[in-house]
Amino acid sequence: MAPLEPWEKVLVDADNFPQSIHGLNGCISCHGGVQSADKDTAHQGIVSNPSKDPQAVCGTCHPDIVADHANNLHSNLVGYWTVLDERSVPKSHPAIDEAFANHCSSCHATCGECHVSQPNIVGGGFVDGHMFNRTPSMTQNCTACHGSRVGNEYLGKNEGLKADVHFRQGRMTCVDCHTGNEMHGASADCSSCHTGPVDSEVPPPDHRYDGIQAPRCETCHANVATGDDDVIMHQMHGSNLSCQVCHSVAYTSCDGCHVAISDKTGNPYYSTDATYTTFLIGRNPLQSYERPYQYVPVRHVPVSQDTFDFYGLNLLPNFDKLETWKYATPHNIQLDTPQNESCNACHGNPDFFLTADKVAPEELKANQDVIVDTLPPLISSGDQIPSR
Amino acid sequence: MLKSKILICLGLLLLLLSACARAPAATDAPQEPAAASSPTAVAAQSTVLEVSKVQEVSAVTQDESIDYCTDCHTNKQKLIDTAKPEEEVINENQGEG
Repeated sequence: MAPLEPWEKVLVDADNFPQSIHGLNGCISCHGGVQSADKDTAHQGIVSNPSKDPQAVCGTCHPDIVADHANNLHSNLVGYWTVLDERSVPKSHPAIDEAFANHCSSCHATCGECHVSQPNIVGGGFVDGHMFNRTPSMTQNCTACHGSRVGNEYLGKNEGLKADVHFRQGRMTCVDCHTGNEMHGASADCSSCHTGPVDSEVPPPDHRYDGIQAPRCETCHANVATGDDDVIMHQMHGSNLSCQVCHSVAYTSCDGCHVAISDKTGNPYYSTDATYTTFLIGRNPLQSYERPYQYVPVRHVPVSQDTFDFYGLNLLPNFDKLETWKYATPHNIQLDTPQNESCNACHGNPDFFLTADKVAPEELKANQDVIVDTLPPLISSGDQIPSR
Repeated sequence: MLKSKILICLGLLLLLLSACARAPAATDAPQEPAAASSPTAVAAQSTVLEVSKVQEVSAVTQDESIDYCTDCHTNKQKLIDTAKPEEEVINENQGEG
């Protein structure tokens, strides 16, 4: 994404914004500052990103959405702490807190960074002349942050790999699957679809693959779940495989992220050892009622035992408590994939499975729940079935 | 008779006392000529004058019917002319984030 020019970042749509509902409030009501023809005077006490305090500005008119703010992963970044707490011990926390503040906390989005401007982490700037967009822009908001993995996969930016069929043929954007409720951290509300008991709200999930599976493929592809689509593979594998096991192609994995403060500039920086594309099926470490699959695609996340060594040695003493090849839902769905060409394209084929030889020796223990020890056996020619 | 004389005396006394209370005490707020003779006070006074001049000027240039925020932020050329050059941030990150 090309950076915007300084003037471009703050140019307001003269035709539409002043008459819009937010424009009618007047700039100072959200941004502070002073009415003055002199720039420096006008900018005294100005707040460039008012929704840093959503309760004060957005909550006046949108109290229902702001009420969920504490649960919003875009804001509270709890996802980081879910894994950092698991891998560390309380003694490590002050040093990890410091590293987090320097390297991780900028990965954060306020209301305005989705609905008005590009995220600050990519330089900011109005998406649409300060108009408030109910639906964030896929490329200027969502994949501005979620770009190097999900964005590249979905939009077909990985060399030699096609864009996700939902984009290529369906022209679907992120919000066609990921609802505002999900983005805002709202609790899943069963009764919004299933009328029945009033008290059917479930608590927000602890992590990405906890709780109700939303979005889920079967919401649109219901005939797959009910076995009405005449695809024998769907009937054979039922709920043993996540949809992505058969319908994803290669996706990005990263190794060895290290963070430090630069000697040259004093700025925080990171470096990753390797980035590569693979498609590997592992055992599902998070089997549950909602995700009963025996196998799921797995992606290597860039954490390593010495990720935070700049801030102190052995800050992740419980490194092995979580796998480094993680349950993944790659966003590059295709109807036809190398592994679903035939039964034996996948069965008995070690290229598609996360076997121990593909895992770094120092990470074997961490990945014991996902490593595939025994490949699904080859299907004899008499038992072969057509893929569709 | 004596009673009315006493009452008149008391009334005069009260009048005298209230007149005394209204008179400015010698130690009250400094009188202007004395204050003006102090260099600090002269400086303070001139600052006050300057501020009031600025207020007068801005009262002339500030037009309440104009929204200066949108006036500037909808004017591309004005934004280009007044933009502060952005500091170049050297990106020292290596690899995918």
